[in-house]
Amino acid sequence: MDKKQINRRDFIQKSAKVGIAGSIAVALSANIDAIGGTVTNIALPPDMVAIKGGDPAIMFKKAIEAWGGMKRTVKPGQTVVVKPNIGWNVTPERAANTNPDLIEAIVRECFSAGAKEVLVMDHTADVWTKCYKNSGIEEATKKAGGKMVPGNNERDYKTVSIPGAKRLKTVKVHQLILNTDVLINVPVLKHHVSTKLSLGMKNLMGIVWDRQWWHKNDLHQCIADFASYCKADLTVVDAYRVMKRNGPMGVSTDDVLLQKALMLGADPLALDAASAKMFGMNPQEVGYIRLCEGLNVGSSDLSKLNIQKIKL
Amino acid sequence: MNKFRFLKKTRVIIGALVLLILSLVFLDIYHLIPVDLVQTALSIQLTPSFINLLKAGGLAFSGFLIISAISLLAGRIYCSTLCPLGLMMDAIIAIKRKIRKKRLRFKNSPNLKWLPYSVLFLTVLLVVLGNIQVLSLLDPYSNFGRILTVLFKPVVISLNNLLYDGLLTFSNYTLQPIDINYSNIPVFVFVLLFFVSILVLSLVKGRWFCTHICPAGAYLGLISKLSLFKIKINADKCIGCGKCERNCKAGCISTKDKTVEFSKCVMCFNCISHKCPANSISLTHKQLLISSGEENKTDNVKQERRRAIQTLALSPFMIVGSALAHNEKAKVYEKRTVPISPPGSLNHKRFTEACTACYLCVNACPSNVIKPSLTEYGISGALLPHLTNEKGYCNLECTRCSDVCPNGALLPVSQEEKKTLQIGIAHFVREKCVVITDGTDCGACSEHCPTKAVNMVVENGLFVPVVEESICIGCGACEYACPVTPKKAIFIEGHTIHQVADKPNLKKLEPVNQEEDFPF
Repeated sequence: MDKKQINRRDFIQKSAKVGIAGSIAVALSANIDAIGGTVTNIALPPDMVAIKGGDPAIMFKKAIEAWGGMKRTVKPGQTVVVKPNIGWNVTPERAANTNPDLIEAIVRECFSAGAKEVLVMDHTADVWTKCYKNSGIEEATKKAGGKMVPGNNERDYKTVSIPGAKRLKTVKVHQLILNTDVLINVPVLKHHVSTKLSLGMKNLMGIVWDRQWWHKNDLHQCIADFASYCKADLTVVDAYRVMKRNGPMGVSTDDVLLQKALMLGADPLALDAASAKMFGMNPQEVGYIRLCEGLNVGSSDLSKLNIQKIKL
Repeated sequence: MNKFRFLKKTRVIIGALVLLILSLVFLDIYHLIPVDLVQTALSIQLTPSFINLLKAGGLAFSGFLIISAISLLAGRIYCSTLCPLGLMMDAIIAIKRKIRKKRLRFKNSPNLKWLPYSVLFLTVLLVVLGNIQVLSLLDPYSNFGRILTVLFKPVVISLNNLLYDGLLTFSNYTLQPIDINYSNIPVFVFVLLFFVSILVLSLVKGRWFCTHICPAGAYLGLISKLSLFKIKINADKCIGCGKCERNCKAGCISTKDKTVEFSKCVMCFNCISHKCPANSISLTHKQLLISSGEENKTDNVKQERRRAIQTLALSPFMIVGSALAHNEKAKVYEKRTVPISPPGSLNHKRFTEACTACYLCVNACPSNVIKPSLTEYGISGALLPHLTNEKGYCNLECTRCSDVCPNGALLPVSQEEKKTLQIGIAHFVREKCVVITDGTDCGACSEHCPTKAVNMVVENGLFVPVVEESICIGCGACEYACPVTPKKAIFIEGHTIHQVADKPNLKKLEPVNQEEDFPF
């Protein structure tokens, strides 16, 4: 287990330091696929895929195809942790949690790419057993062959330090995240009363133990500090149903609008910026997006990215 | 003697089953037992059904009636087949016998005839006058509930968590890790002392508690004086060997006088199932026994019954009386001054007069919000459950505590009613809030608020909480989430009389135009 933990940390550091090298490698592997004859049009795989107009599972299927397949992120035999937002004890229509159909599709794709094990977890805000059940995510995960892992157990969290952090110098992270080969972050795009928006980097609050400490010690800075430490290998933003106000939990389905969109990619900052725009907000208005600039998290300048846009 | 052996075996099997079921009800750490089943299991408990009849208009009247009828037929059957504390004592005695391989010997206890009836009179009088505390402290069912909740449940959860950790090494997630909801130290010490006393008492004196202290036992003893069937020694046949007396846990057989004090008999059938050498002790029909002396006694009993019925007749007036309890405006400052009573309790006066602190609601609460109190409700309300918001908050749609309450101290609340049931109101302490003290955004309180009664308004570029009291339900989500310690910057002040909150008023949103292009 320890060995794996080092691997994970190495991975995070490496990807932060030599992100460019990584993307070249990915590009090469895509070319090899092309030589094999499966893709006719030889082009660099997109940095981000944005899709509109379908059901969650269908949009994900099309988007991940455009991304270069799940095999671009998940290699055979790897362990995958999928981190949806399951924070609240509400039904999928309330859109406070990630869409269960999307989670089911992601877990299935991971297995198709050869994943050894797919684990789904969140450190919920409400009673976790109720959240897992009423969000529909427990059932969806099990249907696809994945495992639900409780996030409410302090002993499962291990302290790690974040070099270069401004506020969050050490943090207790769920060992599942430290030990996994691949982390797929699946936030739901929604309004948030104090951070304005809940996005991908905010969603990672569900893999740490003491969130209250973040709230007490400059929430935006803590989110940015943690984003510099933990970068998901793939971020899939669920914008099928979008909570436009009273977030992050909402009061009723009246807070929710059907937007039928989805975005995915490997750059957390770019995805958060794109999601903010999708919500109708300037990314620079969101504190933690602003604080992430220059932290090696990614780029919020969408004009420089190769974004593949699909309308269904 | 075979039929008596059969009686005892039946008693043991039923008793073991009931003890198992009631233990599972209190130790159901996974909340697997459906509410209906819990209600059924508890409907045949004497004190809860009596209180329910008195305070809630008899929703579980049948339990009280059935047990009384059974006692009228054949004495204190309840004590050895249904009473969880009595069964616990029996289990202790049985375990001791298994360990020591030797039968415990009991002796006829001196006739403190006045004691059980004094206790009964005092407790019933106090209940009628509005104090339930004495009954609560002596009631066998409530004490059983407290012992299981405060002493046994943490042990069960610890074992579960150990097992969970063990399975985790095989990446098996069948079990769930569970938070232990420790009660406060004084309550723990009190319950531990009671349990140790019961343990020692049962090993030394058998069912002494049941025959001398227990008010439920005294009531049933009173009724059983009229029983159709009784245990009786045929004095002419008895050779005075003392075998039955040694086996009698209730200490109600006197070999010397060759009599059975049937009002103390807990109907364990130990005396008749152990073969009497002279064949002189048996379960006999009343007609065969009545002597002139006993007829007089019967009249006394009838008078006591009449008094009891009068008491019961008064109950509607008491309910009206408690409903007229005056409204107190909650005072809110730095710390909760009025405790939060569980949903369904209607008001503190009614609640403190109807709850015997069995802690079933403490167990039933999936959020670990309900905990035993100390002096929050005042000295006479010590031990009663209240909401703490330390480990969680009252879930908007959850009605489990009021669903399971056997006393009617918590009346059923529908899910729809629960959404606007105001058990208290959030009070914001601006000077303590991190947004004010540190100048950084937080919003944990508003994040967790299910009605958005706690909302954020912009002030100098930061989001500061404000409370809209009319839609606040006092669930405590804000207090639980607030990161400020030790005193929270937002907390719930309880209501002495629960209120109904307004529904959150939400305007419709403009639908999204699906044809719009990507904004990037």
